[in-house]
Amino acid sequence: MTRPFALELAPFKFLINTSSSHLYHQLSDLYPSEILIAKELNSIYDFKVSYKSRFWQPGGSMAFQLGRQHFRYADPSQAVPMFEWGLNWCVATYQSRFLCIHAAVLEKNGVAVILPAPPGSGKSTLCAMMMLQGWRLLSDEHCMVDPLSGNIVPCVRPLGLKNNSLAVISRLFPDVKLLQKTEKTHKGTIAYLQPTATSWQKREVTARPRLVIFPKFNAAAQDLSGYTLTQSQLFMQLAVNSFNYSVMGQTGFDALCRLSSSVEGYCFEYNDGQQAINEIEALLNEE
Amino acid sequence: MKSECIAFVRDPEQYCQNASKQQWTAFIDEARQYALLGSCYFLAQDHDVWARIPAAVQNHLVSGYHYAEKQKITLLNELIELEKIFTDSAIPALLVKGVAYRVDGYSLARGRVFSDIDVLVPDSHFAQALEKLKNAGYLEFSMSAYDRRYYLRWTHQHPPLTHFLRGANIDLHHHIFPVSSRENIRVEPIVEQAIPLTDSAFSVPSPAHLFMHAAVHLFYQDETHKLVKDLVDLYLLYQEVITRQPFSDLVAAAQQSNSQAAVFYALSTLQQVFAIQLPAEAGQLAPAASRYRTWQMQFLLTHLLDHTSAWHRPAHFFWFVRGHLLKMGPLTLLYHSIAKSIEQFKERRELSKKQQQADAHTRPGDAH
Repeated sequence: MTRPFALELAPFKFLINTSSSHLYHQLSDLYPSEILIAKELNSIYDFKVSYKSRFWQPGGSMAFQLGRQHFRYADPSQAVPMFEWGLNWCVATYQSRFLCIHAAVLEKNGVAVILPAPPGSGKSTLCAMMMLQGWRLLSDEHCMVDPLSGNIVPCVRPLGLKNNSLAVISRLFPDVKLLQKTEKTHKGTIAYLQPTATSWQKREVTARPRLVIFPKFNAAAQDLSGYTLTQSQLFMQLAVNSFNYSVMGQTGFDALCRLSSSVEGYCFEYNDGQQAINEIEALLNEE
Repeated sequence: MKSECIAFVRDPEQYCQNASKQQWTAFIDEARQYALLGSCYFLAQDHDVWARIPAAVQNHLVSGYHYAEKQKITLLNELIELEKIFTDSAIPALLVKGVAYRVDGYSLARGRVFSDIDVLVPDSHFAQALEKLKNAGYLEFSMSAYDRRYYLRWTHQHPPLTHFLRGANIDLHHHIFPVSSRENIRVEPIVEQAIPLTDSAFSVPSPAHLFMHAAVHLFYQDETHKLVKDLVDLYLLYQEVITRQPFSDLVAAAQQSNSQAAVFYALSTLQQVFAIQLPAEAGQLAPAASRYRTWQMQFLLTHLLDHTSAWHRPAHFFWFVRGHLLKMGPLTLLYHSIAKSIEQFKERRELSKKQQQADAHTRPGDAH
């Protein structure tokens, strides 16, 4: 299908023009049919994406573009991961309505846990484990804070897992399907998990933040260890992990003050994800 | 007229009343491309139509507002640094274009995005000003020998200066139009009639001269990628200028600086695109403008702004050639075209190598 199609995600809708006849089919693995749909005349699209191959590029590479802004070229065999990264780039670069922190967000019993972390810290693995144990996924990449309400706005998308995480998740959850597995990307092997049905259904339901955990996986660690962050440490750590804090000026500062004073912050070092999750649940039950 | 942004700016009330969802989609896309989101945010507030704009569109206007506010702070900080450099010097330095709108309190500056700080210093003090800027850390960065010579020999400004730590860009001008041009546009009246800013080493052009400068900039340019933004700017500027100075001053400014043709084209375009009412005095400028050029301008603009026209793509090319022919004579243009083609061929080769290296070594997260 090379006609334009749409991803009617929340809070942003994407309109996609592509030259690839496979992309729509590939994406139907990752997105449910009420989200991946034909272009609607009755929708306002936030981002008009062009993802087309360029004959003068080696191997017919596809260029991911938003308007005249070029993101990256993708080898056709890696079309799906680059597409997903491209959507991340649109959101992280071109919106500052919400304060956007590089973090996973999950919700249980109405309260949200934020897991910010640099790549390689085990954030996505932990996030996948939590989701597969019944937590609602709000996002594994973009924690969107609404400056008006202080709530977290979900940005539900397929959950990307890389390299060793894939084996870990397959071992723990043998029935779970790892989709669109792509090898040899510049981040290694990557595959996707579909968000759970509840996560998709509640993709417009915001959640109140309660905990911020900075996870750090360490295979050599003996046991789970952790420490509490002061409010100012938490503020700074969140600011550093934000995509658009510096753009949002006073609004961003106020939103982050409100967030860091309304949650508790911890750093966890762990070698067993389950132990970390148990600890998170214990922290939530304490209150 | 197919530009959604222009339709919005021309009549926000009517646009918000009638726009279909498809039009709003095109509006967001176009406003983002031309960096007009911030300006449209303020226009919507001024015209009291904010509540009538769909929430999805509001989100992006707010994003544009945040971005422009951040730029404003960056600009004001940079100006504090520039004040230190020019204070106590006898250099008559003017802030022009977007910076002037900002520091002289024009409401079109709100939400407006800029890319560099434009400073105008007359020839007599140009070398001195350049020296001061360089000593303060504004340096020239990576430019080919040909491009550098092009700037020095033919244009109206020094090659862009960038602060080595803060990255701020300054365009230091000695004229407002390429010196290689056969149009002899005089810069002296702008400098002589400049308005000093309170407690500042800088002045700004009078409103009439700001409009004249914007008109010259728009009508002798060759680029099309900012056309919609430039037209919107010119329209909003015109509306403010005529509240600050009588229309006859606009005519006088054009006559003194020898830019009657540019100002006439500008006014007739605003009439064509935004349906402004022109006073009869505008007719005094008409003799300077040839009928062929007026027709050419109107024809090209009509098709440049209409994506559905069969002439849309050719119009880009003709606009490019037209702009260049105005900037330099045909022989200079021929020489420049050949030299530039060779340059670009080399650059593209370098760039594609660099792009491949960048693709191989970066993670998508790095783009943020």
